[in-house]
Amino acid sequence: VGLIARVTQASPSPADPAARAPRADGWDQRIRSIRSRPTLIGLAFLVPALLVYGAFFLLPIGQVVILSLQRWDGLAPERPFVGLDNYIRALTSPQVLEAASHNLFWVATAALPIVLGLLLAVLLHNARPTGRSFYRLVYFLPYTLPIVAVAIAFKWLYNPVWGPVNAFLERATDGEVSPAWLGDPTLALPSLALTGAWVGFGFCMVLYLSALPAIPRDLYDAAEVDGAGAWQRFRHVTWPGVATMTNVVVLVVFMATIRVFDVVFIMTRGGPITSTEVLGTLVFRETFQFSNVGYGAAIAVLTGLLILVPSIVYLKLRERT
Amino acid sequence: VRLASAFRRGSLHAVLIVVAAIAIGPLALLFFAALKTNTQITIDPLALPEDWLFGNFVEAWETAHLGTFIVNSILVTVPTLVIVLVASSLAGYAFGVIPSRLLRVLFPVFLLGLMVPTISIAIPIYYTMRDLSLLSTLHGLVLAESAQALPIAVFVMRASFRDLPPELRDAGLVDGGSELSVYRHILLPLSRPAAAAVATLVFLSAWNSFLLPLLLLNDESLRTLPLGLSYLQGRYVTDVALLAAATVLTIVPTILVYIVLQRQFMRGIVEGSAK
Repeated sequence: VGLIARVTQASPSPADPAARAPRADGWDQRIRSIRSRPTLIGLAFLVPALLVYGAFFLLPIGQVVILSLQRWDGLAPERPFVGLDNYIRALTSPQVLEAASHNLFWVATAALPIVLGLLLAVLLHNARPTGRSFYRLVYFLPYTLPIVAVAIAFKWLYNPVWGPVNAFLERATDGEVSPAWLGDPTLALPSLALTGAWVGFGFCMVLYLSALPAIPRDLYDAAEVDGAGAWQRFRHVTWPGVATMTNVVVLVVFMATIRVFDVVFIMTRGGPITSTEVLGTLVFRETFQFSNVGYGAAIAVLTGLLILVPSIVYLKLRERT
Repeated sequence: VRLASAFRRGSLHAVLIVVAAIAIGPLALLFFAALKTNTQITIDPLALPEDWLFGNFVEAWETAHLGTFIVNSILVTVPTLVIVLVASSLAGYAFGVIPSRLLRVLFPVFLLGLMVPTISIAIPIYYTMRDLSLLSTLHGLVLAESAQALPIAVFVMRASFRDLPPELRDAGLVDGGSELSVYRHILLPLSRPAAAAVATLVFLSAWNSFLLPLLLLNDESLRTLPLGLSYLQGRYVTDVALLAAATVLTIVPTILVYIVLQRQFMRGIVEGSAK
């Protein structure tokens, strides 16, 4: 994530010793002698982080790749090596491809919280309404809540019998409109994504709010003098001004939405039928309920690649421009 | 002109209030549902409660063992915070200020952790914990949660140390201080705001975590708050009022922490994403 900052401001960092002019006195030499033996000390500083992160993050990355090349039920002492069989099975399975398309749908719907977040940030920052810190507090609140609690709350909101959404719709339309929401295969996935949007729009707003103060006020004044309306000021001043932040937001939101699991698992478990199945729920079911550990691991690796590859390509592209 | 500007103010606030209602509405409805009987919820989920049955909260608290779950969540979150803050500030110092080619090569290894999703490594984590006899233990979960939170924490701490003037470290070392004392007494105190931001990120990820507790804790008495709540769904299938009450009680601690530390939360999000 922070790569972006590194990439976009490719200027030499202040910590780079070569960037600073050497000093003539002995001070400079003493510094250099201290700086010549830092690797060992630095490694010692890394020990606690590398122990935990190595054992419970890096090692599992290697292990999941190995598991994905084996057939295993989670218990048997031997794990026969099956080559790429699990991957071939996964990539030719309509179930996996459908689940992957739902992950991508989830990513696409993230446009909603991003746009809403930008709009709210611009309103709060540029129009300076009274009570804006209250609004900011309220909009960001959903993001901080436990996702399990949010999912349970929304499951109730959508309930066609005792949920408030349909109570409202039925009253407004005299009982004409009463969708089944999570029970309806065409509505279930969008309903879940809307829950995700509710959680995320304040997050996007906070990120945009942090970028807006960097746009000089003069630019707005100049645009106004030139007769630019509100939309044109947004189009020609605000939008280019937050371009870097838009890159950050898109990448962060992409990485957050494509790994969707909790909301789906709590609210629908992938149903009705397979209409909300995502890669995460598929991995969970194949591995821990059907004991197809190797196959589940292959889907897990593919899920990781689905995030890693676009993220790295994106960062590399940005580095070049 | 004044009328037009008043109209614009008015419509601005109308938009902001509607969005605020969208943000708070679901929570308010849930809160009201927690104060009703199930019949009242079914008849009219939108109405205000008739009798304000605060007893629902007491009943939910007692029958759902929420007290146990909260204690478990604290026993997971606090050690995770300590481990991640110590380990990430040390690593952030090494990556941020110690000039070394090897360290520069090692750093992207932590970047990987920002991108690889939990579900991708959940399978080996489960079997590793099983082999280490750490399944259904809170300290096993603490280790797994710490590993999850470390990448972003190392990232933010590194950026913070890197942005401090390098002369501070030079001066400290020339004065005869060890690297550890320079870290401890000079640079770490200056990085306190970043550490606070990291703490909020770790709190969010550990306190709200669901997948890892789901996998690693099979013992009912060890469930964390989100995990315990997820099981209540199955138990209170027909008891909407009690489920709502338990959900509200689950949310309350987070809301309190958020309101007290809102600046740190927002800073944490910005530092964690955009640094």
